[in-house]
Amino acid sequence: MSTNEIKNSLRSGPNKNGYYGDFGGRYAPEILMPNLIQLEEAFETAINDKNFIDEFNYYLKEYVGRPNPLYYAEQLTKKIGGAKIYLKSDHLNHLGAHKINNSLFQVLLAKYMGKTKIYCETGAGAHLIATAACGARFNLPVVGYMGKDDIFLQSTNVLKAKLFGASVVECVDGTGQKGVLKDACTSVLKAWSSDPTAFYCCGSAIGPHPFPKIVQYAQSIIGKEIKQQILEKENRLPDAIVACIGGGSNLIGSIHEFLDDHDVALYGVEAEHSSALTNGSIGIMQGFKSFMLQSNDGSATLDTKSLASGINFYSCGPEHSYLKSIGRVSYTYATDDEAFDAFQLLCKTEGILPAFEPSFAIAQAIKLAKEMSEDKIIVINICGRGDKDIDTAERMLGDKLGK
Amino acid sequence: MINLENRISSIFKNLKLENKKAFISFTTAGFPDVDTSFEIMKSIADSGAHIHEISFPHAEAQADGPIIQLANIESIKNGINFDKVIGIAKEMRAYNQQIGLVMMGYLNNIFIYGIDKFAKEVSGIIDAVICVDLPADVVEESQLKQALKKENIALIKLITPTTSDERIKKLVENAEGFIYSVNVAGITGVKSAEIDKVNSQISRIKQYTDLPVVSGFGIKTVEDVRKFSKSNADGVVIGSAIVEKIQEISKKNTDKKNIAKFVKDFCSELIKSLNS
Repeated sequence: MSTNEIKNSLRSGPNKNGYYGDFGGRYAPEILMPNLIQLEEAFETAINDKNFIDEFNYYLKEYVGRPNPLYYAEQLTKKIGGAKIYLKSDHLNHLGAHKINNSLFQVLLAKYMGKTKIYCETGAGAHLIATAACGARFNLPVVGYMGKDDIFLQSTNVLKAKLFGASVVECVDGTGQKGVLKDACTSVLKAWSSDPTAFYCCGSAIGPHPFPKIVQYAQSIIGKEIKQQILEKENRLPDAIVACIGGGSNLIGSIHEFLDDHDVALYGVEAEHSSALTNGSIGIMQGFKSFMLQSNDGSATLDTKSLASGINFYSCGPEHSYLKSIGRVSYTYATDDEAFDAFQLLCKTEGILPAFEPSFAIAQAIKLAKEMSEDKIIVINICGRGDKDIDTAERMLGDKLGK
Repeated sequence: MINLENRISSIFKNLKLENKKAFISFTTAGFPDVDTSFEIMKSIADSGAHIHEISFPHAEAQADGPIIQLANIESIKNGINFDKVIGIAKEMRAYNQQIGLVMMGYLNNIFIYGIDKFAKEVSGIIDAVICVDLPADVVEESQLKQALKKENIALIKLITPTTSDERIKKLVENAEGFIYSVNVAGITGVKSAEIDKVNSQISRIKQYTDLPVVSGFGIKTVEDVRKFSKSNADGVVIGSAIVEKIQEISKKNTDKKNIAKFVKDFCSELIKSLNS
């Protein structure tokens, strides 16, 4: 069904039933199946409609502020003493994260389909504010689902979303006591099941087919820009690209354009205590088959924890499970401490405040860069800025921050 | 080789002769705890329920409302696992040979256990399986269907208000046992079913199949069941309403015999209203 299928390419996407190798699929209740099929058809039509793509590109430029710089981090490079480090600046997008690429695409798709209401889930709140903003811009009401704990940790984002006119529904697990991203995911699927004429704007490359494909498509603008910019600056492709991964939208967006460039090493960095790709097993939940952290009999997810809410997820997008299974992408994890050190290092060396999420990628990239010679090039996607995290940073640093 | 008739087919055939509808109960294995949940199932069988759905709990039950979700979480916390659910099914079959037994839940448990291993393990024990998140379009659907068929176990299809006629035709083509008609667009135990819509959906399904069609989701009270006694459904499924009763009574009363008795009385009343 995929119209942009490329022969013998890792970029040709899932098969007609939404599988990337053994992963992905569409494990949805029957109630959602007609919606998912309708969405898939509309997506394929839209991406072959020049007017739709022109509109998407127009707003990427004028509203999101793309292309954002591929910045040579000279100070950081000197400090580390190894490969040349470039930073892809998705933190400079409107609203300060890569999430807007996908929200914009899907809200335009909702409009294209004549939908009148949008549901979304969120972890750190970046997808919520991006979707809320696009909902405001294109006159579509947005209802965001967010875990109870994340609402507490990311109150500024909740406030922003409300200013953009969105309403926010607090989500908890079955105990009613706590709630994180996976609880928001389950809740939003339930809400959509109960209101199937609405549009569900999925925030990461997860969920039942066609969501992983749609999110990959929208986020691939990141990698397309990296490719063009590095060719302009260095006249060659980078040796490595590194990005963090929870669900995996910023990572797939950064690397998809390079999947067939086998000389470019690709790295995905998870948080230590939510490292599904490193420590998980294959399972099927929330509509897709992928690596996940789950109980022995598959009845429940395991509790995950991360300094970064946005990558605190028990599983990962199915395309990542596939890329792991064929060895195209190396998946590792960083600890909270390593990420927090990397966060501070980027602040001190470059005057750039990354979000906690990409700080996990920075931590891994530093290790890699050290091992690489000076003529090598490494690109890190800074997928969000850290304004949302400064209160936590202040708490963690305490007296060390000085007066 | 003689293919023994599936227990479920005989149940519906006999009910039809008596002009009665099937009462299908649903409870969560392991809720409020493993032993009590088994006592409850035994008492439901004693009440005369025709078919019982043993729910194997999942924490991310995306098609279930708050009542069943809470039961799922509690039962997992109280030590249920998929092996134990199969154990309960075996004990239930030993206890009662007439009742139709269905295992209902989410695919991941069966996937992790192993599809073929599962089918062999429950052979001669259960009569059907319902997987909420297993549409016809995924690879495991045909795998599970074939594995179960070898053991004379049906894989039940769900049809919802959003399912098109074209899709119904495709879904009922290889269906077995009965068709589960989902009454509302949504999750279990929240919205109430509207009898007119229920009837027209069931008529829509019956155009394409001769299998019995049972009606579920949104049937909550004795009055609801009385209304459904005049519907064109061949049976009704009561799930959240029973689980909610178990929640209520188990808060006040911890004796498993008492809890089981209470649930039995509730089911007897529902059955009486259905086939009065």
